[in-house]
Amino acid sequence: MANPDPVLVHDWHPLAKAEDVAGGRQVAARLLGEDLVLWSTGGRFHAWRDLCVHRGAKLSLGKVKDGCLQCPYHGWTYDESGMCVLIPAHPGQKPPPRARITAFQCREAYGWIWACLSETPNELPVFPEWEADDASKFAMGPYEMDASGPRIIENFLDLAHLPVVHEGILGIESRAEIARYSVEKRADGVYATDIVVWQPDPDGSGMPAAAHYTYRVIRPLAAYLSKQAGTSVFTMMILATPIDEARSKAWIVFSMKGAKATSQQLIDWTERVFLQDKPVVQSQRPELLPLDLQAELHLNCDRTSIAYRQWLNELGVGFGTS
Amino acid sequence: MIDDPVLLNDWHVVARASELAAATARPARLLGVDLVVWRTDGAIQVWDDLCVHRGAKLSAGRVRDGCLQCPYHGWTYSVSGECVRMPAHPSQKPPARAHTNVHPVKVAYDLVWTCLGEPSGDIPPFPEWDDPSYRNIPSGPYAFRALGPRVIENFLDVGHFPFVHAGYLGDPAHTEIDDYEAEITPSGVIARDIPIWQPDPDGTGRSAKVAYTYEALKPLTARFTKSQGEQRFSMIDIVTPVDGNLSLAWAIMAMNYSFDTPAEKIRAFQDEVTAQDLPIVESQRPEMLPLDLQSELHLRSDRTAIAYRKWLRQLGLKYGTS
Repeated sequence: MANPDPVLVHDWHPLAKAEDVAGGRQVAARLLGEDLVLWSTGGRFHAWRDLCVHRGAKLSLGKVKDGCLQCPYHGWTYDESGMCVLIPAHPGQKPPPRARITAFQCREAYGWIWACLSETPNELPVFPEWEADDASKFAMGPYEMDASGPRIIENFLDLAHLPVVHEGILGIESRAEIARYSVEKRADGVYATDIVVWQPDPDGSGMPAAAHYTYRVIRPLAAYLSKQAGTSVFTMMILATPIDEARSKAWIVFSMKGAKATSQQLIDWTERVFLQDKPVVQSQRPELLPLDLQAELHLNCDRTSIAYRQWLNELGVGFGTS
Repeated sequence: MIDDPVLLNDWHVVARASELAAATARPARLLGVDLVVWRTDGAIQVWDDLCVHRGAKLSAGRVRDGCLQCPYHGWTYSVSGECVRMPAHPSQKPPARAHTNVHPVKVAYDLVWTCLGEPSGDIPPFPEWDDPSYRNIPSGPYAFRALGPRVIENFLDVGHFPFVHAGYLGDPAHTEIDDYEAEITPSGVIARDIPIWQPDPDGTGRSAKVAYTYEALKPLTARFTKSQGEQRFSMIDIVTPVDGNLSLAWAIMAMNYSFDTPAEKIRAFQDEVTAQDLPIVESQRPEMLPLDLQSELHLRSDRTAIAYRKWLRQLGLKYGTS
């Protein structure tokens, strides 16, 4: 690992859609600067270092065969435990014990394949509404971003950009003022409550309403939002998978209760909002989020960001920050 | 510039002579140094691609009256590399510092060779080129986003044929490699008479059991001859170390049979085989070939690679190795 982050290595990060790996396929992924191969057999998913120990070729260019992963170069064949079980150039020779691949923790949730680079993973970020029967639920992404994970999360927590970047949807420029709200930094994350923002189209149905926001930063690269507007309740969790320090994949799950919009309208609305943010976030410099509060300017409306940066600093998150 | 005395004092290919028309200039790059390759009516010149006045690339200029003229202010350099005219001050004698670095040039096998340092040896032999019993078919250059030693080691590798070149140079039903010997000689590495069954050893579409003899002639040049009875198919692979990311492989195939098979067909076959190798070689990690034999795994079938790595270590090659 180029720069193993002492905090993020213990977190779970989504890497691929399960449907792209299921059915005995393999795909390349990258997490915290580490090349990984994700593959499946018999409904079980694996996340391994993407490197054959023989000549260093990428296993993700190989294939899944008879429940094993086969290297594309000389056909070295690894079983689900990561042990090499066949060296085709010498079929009668027992592969040496060193001929094995490092396996990482791997699991499926929200239709995605997640991996953790540590043996002692933290809890998976929970999106409680995923289990609710009375809400529509959607998983979206990945969205490739040339931006650091903390910049993406901080944008998700940001209020003052709503009337500017999302003009006509999440705000209007003539009502850009942000009223005072509450922020609390606890050991398990950052909480921002009592936020009220007037929005022209808070839920994709096209009806204006005063929206009441509650934010919670769950993990350094996972944040949750609950928004009540009129009769609708919209919740969302965003995850930024750190590929490299300044490259990420963003994933979204959201739920909607009581909205008049159709499922397709909700998906289109969410994607439209996200894609409005993307070029702005990718343009931010420095790319790595400055945790020193003197480095950028902070206003009253930025108190969630301030708490987020302080919390990252206390945790010791180094990857994607400066 | 890549600081490797072994390669700096060796000859490398920077162009194909027959593709360099009279009175034209083109850019090339060798060991991280930008070069201009140009031809007057007859002789070929290889210089640093830099006008000393304002640093413009001479390769973007033009050849006029046997001189090379900078595209920016028209400074004009004679074949000795001296500036002979500064058009803004036509009567002023150009200062002594107004010259470019001139490198030695050889033309062999229709390739233009140069050396950035003091040439310590000759260009590698390929006797088939002047042997009337052979036809010669040049191909490439093939651009690899990989470093030269990985490219050459792949050229010397027999174990990958059934996997990377199935249906061409190998067959998944014949993966086992018979024992063979490889040795380091005063002129390089040689591995003799390796028997391989091939579905289509030469692009003619006829399967055969062939015997390969491989030689590493230079750190970045290797050749083989594969024999079936009296038939000989030889190939030389000459790798130009462009910079720290890119290599160019120039190939020549020579055959003493099948004179009626069109050269385009043989060349298309080699293009296809190289396209199969390319993604695998580009995927290899570490990018630098590990000369410590403990860091990757080696089998009996890897004896040529083992000898090649030991030889590179003896030579003290720094570029592309770790």
